[in-house]
Amino acid sequence: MRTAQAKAGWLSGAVALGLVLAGCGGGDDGGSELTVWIMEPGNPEVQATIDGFAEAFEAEHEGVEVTVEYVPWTEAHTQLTTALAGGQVPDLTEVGNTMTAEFAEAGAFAEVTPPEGVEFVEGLAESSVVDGVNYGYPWYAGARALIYRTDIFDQAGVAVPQTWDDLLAVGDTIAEQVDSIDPLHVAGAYQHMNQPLIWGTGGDIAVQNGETWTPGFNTPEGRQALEFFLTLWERGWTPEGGVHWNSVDVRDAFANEESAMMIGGGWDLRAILDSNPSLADRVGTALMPAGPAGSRDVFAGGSHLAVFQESDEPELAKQFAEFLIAPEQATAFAEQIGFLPGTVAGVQAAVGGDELFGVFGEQFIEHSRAYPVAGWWGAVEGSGAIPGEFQKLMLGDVTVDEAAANIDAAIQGAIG
Amino acid sequence: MPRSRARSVSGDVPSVSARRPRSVRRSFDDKLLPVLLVTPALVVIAGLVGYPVLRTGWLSLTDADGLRALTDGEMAFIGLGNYLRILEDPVLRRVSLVTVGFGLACVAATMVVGVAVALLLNRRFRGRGVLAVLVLLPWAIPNVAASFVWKWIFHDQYGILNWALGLDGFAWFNHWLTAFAVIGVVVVWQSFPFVAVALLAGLQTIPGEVIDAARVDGAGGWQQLWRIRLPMLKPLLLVLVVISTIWDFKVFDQVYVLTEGDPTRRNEVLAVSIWREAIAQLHIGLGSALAMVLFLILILFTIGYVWLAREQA
Amino acid sequence: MNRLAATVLTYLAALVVGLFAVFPLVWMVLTSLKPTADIITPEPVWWPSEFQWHRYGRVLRAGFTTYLRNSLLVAVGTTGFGLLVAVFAGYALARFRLPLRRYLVLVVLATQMFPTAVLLIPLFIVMRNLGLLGSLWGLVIAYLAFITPLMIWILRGFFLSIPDDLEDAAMVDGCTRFGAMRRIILPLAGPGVAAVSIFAWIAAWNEFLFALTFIRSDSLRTLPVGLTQFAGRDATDHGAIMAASVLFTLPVVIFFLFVHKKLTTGLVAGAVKG
Repeated sequence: MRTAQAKAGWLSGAVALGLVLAGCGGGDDGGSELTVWIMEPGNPEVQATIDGFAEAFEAEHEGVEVTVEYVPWTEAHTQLTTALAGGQVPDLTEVGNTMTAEFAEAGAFAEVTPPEGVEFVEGLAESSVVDGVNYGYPWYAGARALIYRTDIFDQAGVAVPQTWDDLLAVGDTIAEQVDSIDPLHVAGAYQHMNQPLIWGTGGDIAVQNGETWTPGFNTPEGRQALEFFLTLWERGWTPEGGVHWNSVDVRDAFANEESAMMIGGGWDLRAILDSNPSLADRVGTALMPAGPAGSRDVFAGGSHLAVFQESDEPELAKQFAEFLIAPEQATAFAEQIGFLPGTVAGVQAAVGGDELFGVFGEQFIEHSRAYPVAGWWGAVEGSGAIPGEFQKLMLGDVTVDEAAANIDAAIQGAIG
Repeated sequence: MPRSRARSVSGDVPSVSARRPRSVRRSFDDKLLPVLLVTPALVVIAGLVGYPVLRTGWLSLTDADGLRALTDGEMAFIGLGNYLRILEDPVLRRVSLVTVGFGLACVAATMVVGVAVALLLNRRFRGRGVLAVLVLLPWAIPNVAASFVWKWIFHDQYGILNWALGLDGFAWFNHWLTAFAVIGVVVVWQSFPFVAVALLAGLQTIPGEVIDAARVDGAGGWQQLWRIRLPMLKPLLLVLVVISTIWDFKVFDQVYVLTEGDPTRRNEVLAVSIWREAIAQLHIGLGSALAMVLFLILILFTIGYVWLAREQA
Repeated sequence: MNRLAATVLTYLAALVVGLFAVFPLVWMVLTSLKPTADIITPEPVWWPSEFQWHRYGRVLRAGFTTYLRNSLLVAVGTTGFGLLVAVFAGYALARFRLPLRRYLVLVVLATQMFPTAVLLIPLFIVMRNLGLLGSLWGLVIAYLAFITPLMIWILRGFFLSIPDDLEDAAMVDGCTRFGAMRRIILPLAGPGVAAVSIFAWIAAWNEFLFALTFIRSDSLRTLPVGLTQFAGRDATDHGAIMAASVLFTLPVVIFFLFVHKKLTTGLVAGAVKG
């Protein structure tokens, strides 16, 4: 008896479930449909902002339906790859600017022309141009600068470091004068702080000469950059665990008043002030100290908007991209996520004149650049070879010379 | 009865019905019914998993590399080239061995903890029901969230474990062995509940009379465990060991989250290598070959277990 | 004396096991309620200095109920259909002389031996060709393909451990094979069925990669995917991630508490015998 009852219950349950599942299919109707992938901004309020942009665009364009789909950052590469391989791509996608060239070279993206008469920030705009063809709309980005504790600097009687030598000297003084705090932390898995150091010595991650690329770490400049990183580590300012720290650990330590300086972006500073508001009148920002070659360049990390080659609605996709990068939308959005819009005017509108955050704008506009803009860069990042060698350097597994050689071998392997 | 059970494991299910007179119903029962019972499962499995698996096998014999290989099918057949490369590459060779070592250690630890917890839950004590539910919880957490919590517990500066042990700032991930230990703890934490629950279920099916008889014969706790309980649960234990092996040799999320993608490759296991090659760098041919290597290792272990179980019977 | 020692040891062991199983979860809950300053500190703060319930409010407002509904549908669907298919197949593999049976078991297991990451792209193509992308049905079917093999294998183990004499007796009494299976074997395998149900439920509940890749629409997202909203680029609010994880785990805990009676009477009641 019980089994019969259970069976009847189970069957009706299955039928009901089937109805509900089937009901979730969603339907098609006429008009133009635009599917847009946006990388998960990491907070639901920002998602609401983007959904709002889509609605505003729909209101402006009769019969257009914009579907925004969110993809987590960690899965961005896999999802774009799968969509391409499976022949089911959206019309428009946000793409991290280190990935744009890889997908563009594979023929995934269509050529686009950013609006005339707008000055885009060089560091971001240059990373969408492959072989002279532009494949993306610069959307937003950020650049890391020096964040420091004004009270500690006063206590130690030091000024803001302008060069790497200053940075070491300031650090030494703080280490001597102030017991309670580490001068600066470095982190093995914080690649966007570490690998740009090579620009400070006048080197480059890889140099393009016509069609060929040559890796640049196994050079005097590359080794000097690694040497400087090792010096920072060997000062003993960073806890042992720093080998496996990432940017978030560095930021947490700064927020917890354990370090007097850090290299970080505006989003880091916001997070710091959120978690420790008492720091508000005790932090300052300054440009990244200049390396021996005089360069203060840091990585311009951000996003492009790219139109897929296989899109059925390329023109509409371009219109929506231009709508998103227009000053009103871009500035509101970038500000909300702690990044900066991709135009010079937008950056100035967002942070110009701000005592603390203005520096990030200046760093971004004047002193930022892109990683090699080439299809093979994706494989270098995927291999993890560069952060891996930095970590091994910290652990004493490799010497500077070996690390430099290994990094170049990995880059060369990716170039093919 | 234990004997017939042991024979069942070896695969020779006694065909009871063969002794019976043939009738239409019987022949339906013997011939058609089993096929009908298995077909739905086979259709779903073969339909969805068949092609992807075969394709992975094929790709492992090609030089498929980069996005173009996926979109335009730009690749060439290179025979066993990728497999030779794995044999020649010192890192990948080491990874294969490490995967087996780490995987076996995790399986052993999971089984020991699982058996212990199952035996504990099989005793009568207050709060047993509550504990039975609590023990299931680690299993309910997604790998990534679990790894995140444990990473925080093991954090060198802010981790509660270093504080509790008085290890000021000890960096668990700076040495590959301690790093593997942490990863192992997380893996075992998440996988012992399943083993414990399944074994508990198995323990329940042992008729009380068998244990009572042993007790009357003067068998102590250990003897009951080794001579009666575990042998009677052998089919189930075999299943659990095989499943744990398959899971623990494939561990990815925990390694990935805890070691930040393991760029130094010192804690790399095959699943991470496969991801690093096939997914992150789109070395699809080589990555597929690595997947086949993992597959072959698992097949060998599975056959090995089954063979061992049969030998003993 | 001996008895007392055994009792003390039992409770001690229960305490250790309980702590090991639950402490990380308790820590997760506490962390989710702490202000960040209490989280980032070398000296642990045991009790939140100020409860941060707002994190939960944020997660709940971010489409949580929709994701919950989708996850429930997928988990129920996968568990239900999985059981249906696996009970039959597991029984057949345990009791019948099927052609190639030995290899069938290996085939069933072989499906588990590939990291899903390498199968993702070809599976995506299969799903696309079958028109299964973008629906919860498709997701259920994809899960069935990967979850039923283990269910079959586990259930087969349980069926094997049940003496066939019982069915023989029933069949002598005039039951069909099918009837014997339903009336005699299934109830006996109850704990096993419960175990694989939990297994299927959790596997479907936690799955992330397929759910992300095969379903894009926000209204059909499952919980694991929906909760990635709290981990963005360069932004890690430890508390928010913990809060999301807690809310993610909570329905499973409730599910366990709900079936706990059934489960533990199935699983533990027999302990009286031991």
